[in-house]
Amino acid sequence: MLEFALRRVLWVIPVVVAVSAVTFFLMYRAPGGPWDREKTLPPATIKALDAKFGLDKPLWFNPEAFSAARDAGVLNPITLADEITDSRFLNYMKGVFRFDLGPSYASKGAESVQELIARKFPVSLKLGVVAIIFSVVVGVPLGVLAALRQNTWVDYLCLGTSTLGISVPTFVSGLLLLLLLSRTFSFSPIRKPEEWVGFGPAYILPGIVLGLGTMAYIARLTRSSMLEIKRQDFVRTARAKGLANRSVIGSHMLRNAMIPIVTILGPAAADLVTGSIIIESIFGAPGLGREFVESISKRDYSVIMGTAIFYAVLVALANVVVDLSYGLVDPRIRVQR
Amino acid sequence: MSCRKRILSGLVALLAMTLLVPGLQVAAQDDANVLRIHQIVYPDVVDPQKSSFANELAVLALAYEGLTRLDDQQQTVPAAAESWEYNEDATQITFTLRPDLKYSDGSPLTAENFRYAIERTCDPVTAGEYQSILFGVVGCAELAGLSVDENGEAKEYTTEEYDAAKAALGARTLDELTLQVDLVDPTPYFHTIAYTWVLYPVKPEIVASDPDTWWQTAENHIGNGPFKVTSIAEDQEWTFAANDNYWQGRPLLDGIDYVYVDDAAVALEAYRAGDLDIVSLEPPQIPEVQADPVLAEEMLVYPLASTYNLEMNLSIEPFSDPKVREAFAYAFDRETYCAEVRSGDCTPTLSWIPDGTPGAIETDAFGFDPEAAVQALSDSTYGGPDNLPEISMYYNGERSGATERAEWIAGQYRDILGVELTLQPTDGTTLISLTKDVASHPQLVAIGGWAQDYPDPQNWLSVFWTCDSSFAARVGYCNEEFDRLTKLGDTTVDQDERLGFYEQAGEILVQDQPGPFIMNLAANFVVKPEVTGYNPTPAEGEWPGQFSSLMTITKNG
Repeated sequence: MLEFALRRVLWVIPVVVAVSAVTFFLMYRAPGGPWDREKTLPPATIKALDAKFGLDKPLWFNPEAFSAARDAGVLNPITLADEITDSRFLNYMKGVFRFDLGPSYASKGAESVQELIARKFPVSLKLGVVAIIFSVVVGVPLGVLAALRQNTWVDYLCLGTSTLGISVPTFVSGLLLLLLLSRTFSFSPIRKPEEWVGFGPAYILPGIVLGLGTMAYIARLTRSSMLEIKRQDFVRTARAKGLANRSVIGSHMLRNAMIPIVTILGPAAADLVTGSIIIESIFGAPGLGREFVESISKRDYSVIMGTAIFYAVLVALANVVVDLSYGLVDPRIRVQR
Repeated sequence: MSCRKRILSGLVALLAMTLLVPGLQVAAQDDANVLRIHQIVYPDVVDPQKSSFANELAVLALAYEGLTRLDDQQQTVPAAAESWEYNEDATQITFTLRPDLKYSDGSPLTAENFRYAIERTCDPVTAGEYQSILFGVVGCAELAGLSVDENGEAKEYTTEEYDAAKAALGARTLDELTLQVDLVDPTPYFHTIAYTWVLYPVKPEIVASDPDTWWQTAENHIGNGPFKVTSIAEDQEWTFAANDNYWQGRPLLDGIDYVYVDDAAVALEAYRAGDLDIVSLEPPQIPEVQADPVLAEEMLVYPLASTYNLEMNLSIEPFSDPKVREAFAYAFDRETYCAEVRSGDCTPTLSWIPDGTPGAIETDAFGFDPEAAVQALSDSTYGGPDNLPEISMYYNGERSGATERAEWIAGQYRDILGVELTLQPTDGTTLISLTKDVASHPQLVAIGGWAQDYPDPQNWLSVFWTCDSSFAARVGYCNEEFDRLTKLGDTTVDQDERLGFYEQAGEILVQDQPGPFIMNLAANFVVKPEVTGYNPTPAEGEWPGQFSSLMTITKNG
């Protein structure tokens, strides 16, 4: 088990390298750069900025520096290797493995990307946690209820609610909720900075809106999964031996119905904690989602790379956790040795 | 066990939860005279010598002040400098500072602080985006250019070269109150440049403590403006309090809060709820606001100092033919475009410098006239719409409503001229990277333009349309007579005579039609009626009174 976990965690490294290379390639395929302004900057300013942030280096490899060093009589292979790898991509990757994700260009180096993530990710994470709690706490009971009362008004109500949750986009549900609250209770739609500190009250509304879609998905999944199990022999046996309804549902049905839910919970959790630009912008949450999207239009290369790598690690680790948790939910799923 | 009961109790719990939220967050309204102003985009850099975007300058202008400032008529008036004097041919300017100027912490502010601002702007280590605004100062372009060789390639420089270039900079203090600046060419408008943010006197010791990150801490913003920074909540809020040490005395307001809300609907809702005093509107919101009896009364619209035109690449077909450009100018119904397509967030224009800015001209040339448009196209070398090459019109598809506007423009040209345009939406940065070079500049871009840096015709004409300007070069415009006239305007000391040259140059621009002039953007705000004491100028795009009315604007008027 431990060996399996370790192997899965180590697999994250090649994933990071692959994600980095692809992101880097795509990023530089997009026209323009971080210093492109409607009011064109003078060449001297652009060169100075490029030099400051290492953007004057070649993209992938630096054969020129290598030949220059060799012609100058350098024979030390380590120095030569340093020269040929003195490129934008490899310099960035060297930084990544030292946990240095580079300076953000938009702030002219006032903040490094790891500082930016450390400052903003907790907000997205907390929103995601609220969303996950909401989606599980509401979604699972909704699905169970619907399955137990199949084809009654309860089922239709639960199904209807979850269909709404899936089909109404968050920018509609979020704004509607805000308008409703502000018009009815003269509640200001703007949060004060201190409300985001710790687990402040500001997280509740956006967390719920963020979790709506997942809640609906979980409800539907729970329902179909429960319906399937409802007709299984072991359920009939459990009922026949006179077990209480509560324990039939709780220990026999729900536990078996959880497998598909746990499967989607991992990626869903990764998805929810990575932040949503729409939710963050409507509710004014100082989270990482906005940064991720805005960095692309700003061509803030190190922020694009840093956030992409960070998210890749997050998703990869979430999947490892899911794989490991199968064994806990269903002992029949054994890890292959 | 009743399932209904469970659902019911669940619903009640949910409802209670949502009710609890507003209960916890009832805004603490006190009686302080604090103006809460909506800002859309959180600034990337708030450093006078590095900042370049309007939202960043809006922050800086509260906490700092240059040697001069703009009043509510866009006139340059004394600020930290109580007077200035040019030498005979305006190649040198001497500023005399007010005695006893103080920073917000009470420490003395002297001419040396302004000299440092000039030096730091020109410094290649700072690499500020607006350093070229001071390239007219002797030695500034050379200092900034240390990082490039004559072929425009990056190069290294030695400490000796760096120190020598700094020493050669033509800005010196004669005593604590006197700053003298040598200028490469006669620059009779330098006192207006002296209002700009690059001259804001940051304290050298604060910058030196951490050149890249100092501005992220509120306490480090020790400035000389009417307000001082009291707190910074990243992505959310900057708060300011009145600066008792400001030379004009204390402003009427106790403070200003900049509240960053990037969702326009949310900001307007906060305005309705009384949590914001000034909110900027997006064009799609204007009809909604106009239809609301209360908000319509509180709406404020005024023209801004920015002009937009159809950008045409004059070096390739078909807009290399002036007659085709004329046809496109005649066929554009600017009135309808501003009133209906843009919901009134602009005013039509037929010239480059906006009304109310020095050097503006009145003209009715190439106004909307469908018949003249058809005539001009048939007079062109193509003889009519059928022989025209395929024309692609690029636009920034990220802006809200951009596609509808582009389709409207294309529809006009189809209906009036019989020309089919191919629409090419791109993202903003891609469009900028395409348009920065004449070799890749699309035939037609809807729309580009210029927002003023300082209210002088030199900033509008010489910086943009002269042959050696990177802006004119990217569309391939060059007219030697225009250059001759703007050069005369740039260097003539007599103000009236200067304006005469610029006005002639402006007429040439209209006749050349390098890209049909379409509109001046308008500012659209809702302002609470209790806010008084401001008189917005075209330079104030972030909020009405942001530069000129800081001393007089108040909420308890």
